[in-house]
Amino acid sequence: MISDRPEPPRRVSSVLLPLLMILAAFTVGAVIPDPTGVVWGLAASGGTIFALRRAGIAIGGTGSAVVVIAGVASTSLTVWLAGAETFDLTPSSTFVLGLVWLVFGGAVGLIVGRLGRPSAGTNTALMWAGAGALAAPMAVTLDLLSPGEPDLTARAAMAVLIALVGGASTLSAATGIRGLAIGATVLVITVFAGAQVGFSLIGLFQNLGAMGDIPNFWPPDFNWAIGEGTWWWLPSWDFGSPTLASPLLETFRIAILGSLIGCLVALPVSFLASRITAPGRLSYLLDKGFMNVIRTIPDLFWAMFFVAAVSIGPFAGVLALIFFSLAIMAKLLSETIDAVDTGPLEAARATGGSHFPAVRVSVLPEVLPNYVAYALYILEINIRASVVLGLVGAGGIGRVLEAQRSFFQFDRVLAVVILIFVIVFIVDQISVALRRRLV
Amino acid sequence: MSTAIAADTVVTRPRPPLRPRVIRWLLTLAVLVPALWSAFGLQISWEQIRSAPADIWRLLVAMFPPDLSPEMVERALPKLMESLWIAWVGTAMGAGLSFLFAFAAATNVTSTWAANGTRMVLNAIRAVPELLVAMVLIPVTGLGAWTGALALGIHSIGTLGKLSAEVIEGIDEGPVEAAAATGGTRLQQIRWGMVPQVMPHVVAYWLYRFEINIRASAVLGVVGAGGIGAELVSQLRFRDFPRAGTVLFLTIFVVLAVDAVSARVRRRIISGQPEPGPIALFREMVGWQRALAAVAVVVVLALVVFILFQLQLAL
Amino acid sequence: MRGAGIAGPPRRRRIMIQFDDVEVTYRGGLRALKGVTLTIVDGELVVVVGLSGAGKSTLLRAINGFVPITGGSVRVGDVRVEQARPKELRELRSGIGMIFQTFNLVKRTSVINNVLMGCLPTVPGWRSLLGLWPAEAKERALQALERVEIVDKAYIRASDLSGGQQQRVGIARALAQQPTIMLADEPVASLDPVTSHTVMRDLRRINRDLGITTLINLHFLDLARAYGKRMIGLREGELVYDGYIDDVTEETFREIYGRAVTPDDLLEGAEL
Ligand SMILES: Nc1ncnc2c1ncn2[C@@H]1O[C@H](COP(=O)(O)OP(=O)(O)O)[C@@H](O)[C@H]1O
Ligand SMILES: [Mg+2]
Repeated sequence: MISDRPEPPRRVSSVLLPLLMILAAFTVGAVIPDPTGVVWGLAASGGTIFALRRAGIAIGGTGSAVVVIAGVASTSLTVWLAGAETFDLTPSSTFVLGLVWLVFGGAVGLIVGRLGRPSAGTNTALMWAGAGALAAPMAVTLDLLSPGEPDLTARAAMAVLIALVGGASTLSAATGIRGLAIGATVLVITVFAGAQVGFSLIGLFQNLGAMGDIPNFWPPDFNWAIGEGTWWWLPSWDFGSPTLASPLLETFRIAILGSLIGCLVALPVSFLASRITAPGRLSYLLDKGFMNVIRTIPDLFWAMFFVAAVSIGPFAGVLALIFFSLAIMAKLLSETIDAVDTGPLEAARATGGSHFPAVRVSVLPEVLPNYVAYALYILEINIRASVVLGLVGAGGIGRVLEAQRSFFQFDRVLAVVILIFVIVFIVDQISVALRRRLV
Repeated sequence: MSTAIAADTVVTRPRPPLRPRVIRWLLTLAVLVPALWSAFGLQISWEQIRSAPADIWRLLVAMFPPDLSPEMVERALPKLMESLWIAWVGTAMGAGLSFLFAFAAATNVTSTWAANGTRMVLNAIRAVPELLVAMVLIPVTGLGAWTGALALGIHSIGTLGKLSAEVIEGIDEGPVEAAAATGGTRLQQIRWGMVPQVMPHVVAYWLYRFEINIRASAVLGVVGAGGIGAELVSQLRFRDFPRAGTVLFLTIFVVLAVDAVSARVRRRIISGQPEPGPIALFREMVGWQRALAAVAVVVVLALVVFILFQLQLAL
Repeated sequence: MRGAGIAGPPRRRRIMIQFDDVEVTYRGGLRALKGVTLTIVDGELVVVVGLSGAGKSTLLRAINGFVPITGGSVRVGDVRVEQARPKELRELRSGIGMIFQTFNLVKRTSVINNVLMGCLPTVPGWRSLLGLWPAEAKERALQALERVEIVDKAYIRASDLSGGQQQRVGIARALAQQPTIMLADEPVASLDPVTSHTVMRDLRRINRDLGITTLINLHFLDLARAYGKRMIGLREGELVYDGYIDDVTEETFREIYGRAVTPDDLLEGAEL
C-alpha cells in the first residue's frame, strides 16, 4: 500500500510569483488612461484571481464574479474620489478610501476565509482596507502624488502600495505563510516612516562631506572643560564656571541618590505588583496598572515635570530619577518574583505565618541577588540619564551642555560628550563585572 | 515550652560564622557612604523637600484636565506621530545593522579576538546617550526628525548588537554541527543552523527596543531633533499647564497602547503559541474583574472616538 | 517493632482530626475526594497510600485548609477548618507542621533561616520583616536541627545540602513550630532508598518521642509496611481501606491499586 506523502510546507518563494502578478496587474491597470477606473479594476481583480489560482487556491465562477465586481467598484470609486474637487487628503478622505478598499478586501477575504480559518479572511479584508486608507497619504509623502491632481503616475504609486500590502496579506492568509504579510507591511511602514522623518542617504553623505566647514566644531575644546586648577596636576573640571559646584560631581550625586531611593521604594511596590506575592487580586491589578503608566514616561519628561513643580536645580533631577528608577525596578523585580518557585512560600504559609512575613522569609532571599544586580543596572542607566537632566534644568553636567549649545560652541559640546562617554563607559564596565558575580 | 522538641543527643553546635555579618556591614557602608556624600553635596534644603508634595500636587491639579481642544490635539498629535516614525526608523536602522554586528561579536561565529573587539565597539556606542548623539549630530545633519532617527539608530546598534550577540552565543550548537556535517559552507551553517534558532529572540529584542525608542524619541525634541518633546518644553516654558498635560496624556496613552501590542507580539513570538484573545481573557475573569475591564474598554474607546472627533474625522 | 508508638486502643484517646463525609471538587469539576469519613486520634502515625492522583495530597491539604472542601466537615482539635476565619486558620496552621516532597526550602539562604520560618507565628511581624529573630526563636530552631541531627549545617546555604539533608531541614522547620500534628506529603519520593529510610526513621522517632500525630503520604508499599501502624487507602478519591497495617494482605493492595502489586510499587523493588 502506498502511503500518501504529506504536502510539504509552503515556502515564501512559492508565492512570490503570484505576488508579482498581483503587483503587475495593479500597476499596469493603473497606468492605462481611463477616467472611469473600470479598466484598472478589471486588470486588478483579474490579476488577483489569476494569482490566487497560481497559488493553488480554488476560486469558482461565482467567486471570480464577486471579486471582479468588488474590484471595479473599489478602483472606480478611488479614481472618482481622487478626481473630485473635494479630495484634499484630510483624515476623513483617508478614512473613506479605507472603506472603499474594504469592499475589495471583503470580497477577497470572503473567499480566503472560506478555505480555512475565518480569522484569515477578516485579516485579509482589514489589510486591504488599511492599505487603501494609507496609500494616498503615503504617495503624497513620498512625493509621488500631488493632492487634487491624480495623474497616472499617482495612480500607479497608489496601486503599488495597495497591491503590495493587500496582495501579500491575501496570499499569506491563503497559504499560511505568515512572514509574507508581515514582511510586506513592515516594508511599507518603514518606507513611509523613512519618508516622514526625511530619510535621505545622499543628503547624509553631502552633510558628512561638508563637516569640515562647520564653525566651532572640531577639534573638541578640552582645555576649557578641564579648566585651571589650584594645582597644575589637579584640574578643576569646572567647565568654565568656577562659581558652580562641579557639575560632574553633581551628576553623580543625582544619579546615586535617585537610584538608591527609587530602588528602596520599588522593593515593596514590586511585591505588590507580582501575582504571587500580592495580598489580593485587586491590589495587584491596581499596582501593576499604575506601574505600567509610570513606565511610559521618559526620564526627561519626569525632569521637566519636576522642574516645573519644584523649580530648577538638582532636587528636580533626583525626584525625576526616583520615579524613573522605580518604574524600571518594579517591572524587572516583579517579573523575577513571578518566576520564583512558589514552594517555599507555600511552606511558610503552612507554618501559619501571616502574608507579608511569609513572603519576606520565603521569597525575598530568592530574589535578593537579582535585586542587587538590577540596582546596579539602574545606577548604570541613571548615570547615563543624569548627564542629560541638565538640558531641561534639572542639574548636573547637562546644564553645561545646554549653555554651550545655545552659544553654538559645538567644540565644547563635543569635549563634554567625549568626557561623558569615557565616564559612562568605565562605569558600565565596572557595573557589568559586578553584576556578573552576583547572579 | 522550648524543651518540647529538645533532643537528648549532644551534638556541638557550630558558631554563627563571621563572614556574612562582615559582608553585610561592608555592603551597608558601601551604600550609605555614597548616599550621604550625595545627599549632603547636593545642598537641597529642608524647605524644598517639605514643600515638594504640595508643589507637585499643585502642578498635577493645574494639568488636569488636559486641554483636548481641537486646536491642541491637531497640534500635538502629528508631533507625537513624528516621534513614532522616528522611533520606527531608528529601530529599523539599529536592527538591520546590529544584526550584522551581532554575528561579528559572537565568539562562536568569529574568533574570540575579533568578537571581543566588536563587543568593545558596541559597548562604546551604547555608552553615549541618544540625546548626546543627537546633539553632536545636529551641527552635521541639521535640526529635525532625521537627526533624531539617526541618533536612535546609532545607539540601537550598540544595545541590540550586544543583546543579539548574547543570544547567538547561547544557542544549541547541534544544528550548526549538523549543517557542517552535510558539508555546508560557513555561511550556510549560519543561515540554516543559527539564524532560525536566534530569530525569535532577536526579533523580540527589536520590538522591545522599539518600545524603548519611542520613549527616547519623545524627548529628542528637547535638543531640536524632532518629535513631541519640543512641544512639552514650550508649553511648560509658557506655563500653559493644561496643554503640557495634553502632551503628557497623549504620550502616555500612545506609549501604553504600543507597549501592550508589542508585549503581546513578543510573547507570541517567543512562545510560538497563539495568545489568548481578548474574549477568552474576558471569559476567564470573575465578576468585579469583568466590570473593571468593561469600564476600562468603554473609557478608552470613548477617548479614542473623542480625540478622533477633535481631528474632524467625522464625515 | 512496628507501630510501637501507640499504647492502648485509639478510641480512648483525644480525637485530633475528624473527617465527616468530606467532598473536594476542584475548579474545573474534578472530584478529588468523595465522601471521606475518618478519625485520627492523638499520637497516631498513619500512612496514606494510593496511586498517583488518588487524592492523597488533597486529603492532607484539606487538614490545614490549603484545599477548601466543598462538602462535609473537617475538624482539627476544636476547630472546624472550613469555617475558620483567616486568623483562626493561621493559628491552626501554626500547630500543624508540613513536610513536602520537593522540600520547599529557600535555597539561597542559610539552613537556620529556613528553620526559623517555623517560628513565624510566634514572632512579631516587624521582627520577621527586618530579619531580627529573637534569641528564643533561634534557640528553638537550633533544637529542631539537633533533633534531626544536622545542627552542624546550621549556617550553610540550603542549596549546598544533599537531598536527604534538605528534607531533614524541612522536618526541622516543621518541628520548630512545636506542632501537635505533622503532615508529610510523599516526604521520600525525591530521595534514594538509603536516605528514604533515614528520613522515615526520623519521622517515626519524632512521632514516638514527642507524641506528634503524624500523617504520611507514601507511594511505596514496603515503606508503608515498615513504618506504619495504621494505613489508609485511597482510590479515585474514595476511602477504600482503613485499618492496621498488619492486617493488610495482597488482596487489600489489589483493591487500593486496582491491580496486583508490581516491583514499581516497592522502594527496593523486592517482593512484599
Ligand atoms: N489545584 C488543583 N486543581 C485541579 N485539580 C487538581 C488540583 N490539585 C490536584 N488536582 C487533581 O485532583 C486529583 C487528586 O490529586 P492529588 O490529591 O494531588 O493526588 P495524589 O497526591 O494522590 O497524587 C488529581 O486528579 C489531580 O489532577
Ligand atoms: Mg500528591
